Amino acid sequence: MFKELDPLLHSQLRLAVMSLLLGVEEAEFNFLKESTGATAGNLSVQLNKLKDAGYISVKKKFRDNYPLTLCKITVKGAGAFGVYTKALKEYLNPKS
Amino acid sequence: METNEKEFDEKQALQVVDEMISVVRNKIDDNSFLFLLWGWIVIIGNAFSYYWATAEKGDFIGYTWMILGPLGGMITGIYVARQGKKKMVRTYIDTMMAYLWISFFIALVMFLVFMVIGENYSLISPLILTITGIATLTTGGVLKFRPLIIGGLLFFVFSLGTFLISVSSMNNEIQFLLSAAAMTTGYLIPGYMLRAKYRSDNV
Repeated sequence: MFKELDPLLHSQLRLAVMSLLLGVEEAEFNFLKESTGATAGNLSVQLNKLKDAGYISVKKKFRDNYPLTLCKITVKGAGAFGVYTKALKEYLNPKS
Repeated sequence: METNEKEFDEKQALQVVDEMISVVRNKIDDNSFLFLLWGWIVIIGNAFSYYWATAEKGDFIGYTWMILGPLGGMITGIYVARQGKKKMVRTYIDTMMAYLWISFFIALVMFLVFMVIGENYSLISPLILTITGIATLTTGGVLKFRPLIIGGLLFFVFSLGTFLISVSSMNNEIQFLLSAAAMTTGYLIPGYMLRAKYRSDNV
């Protein structure tokens, strides 16, 4: 019996964001935008969904009078990502 | 990036994870500038110190470092502030390195203050080379960059050399030459190699 994949993570852009944030301490909105190639609007929507689920924390600051959005993965988010990738492996290698 | 969730299967999910993890893995900054800056500053400082010591103008050694030290500090401060503004992502390695080099700087200033107040400069080279070795070897290990690891280890060897000179009857001026050699193998050579590696990785 396969575990259900977390629908919040089983989305291309949200999964990409979580994979990026897992390897860093924090990242700017523009880094996520450049790395994923997403539009600012779409990325904002997906970041809000991850934030509402408690998977990431979003901090808004100013740098040289420009707004700066910093994103960071939470412990809950890292745990959910681990469960998701484990379930993913089970889907792809059902025997192991 | 496409967000069509209907066509997003498990295989593609794994591809996304792999692709994004490699983006972060390749996100290594060009750390060479500060190694090259301080490598050259300290080598020039030691060359002058050697010259003043052999010319029996020892007082000028202090003045040399009083000019070069703050000059290097100022350039470092401007460089670090500018880099910080450009930086879009902070990794755990960045944070660890920042704390490591801040600790190194505090230790260095404390050693210098102790020696100036105590008016005892006999162990200045061995002690500075030892703490530089700690910071350089750790940086090399964290970056997994062999030239920096070797350079870091050589700081300890040169530290031992300068210590043996300071307790022997040999001319103390040789300590300046050994310190310059330590900076060449520990900062300059790895610094240029780090820069070349960064440039070839980011072509």
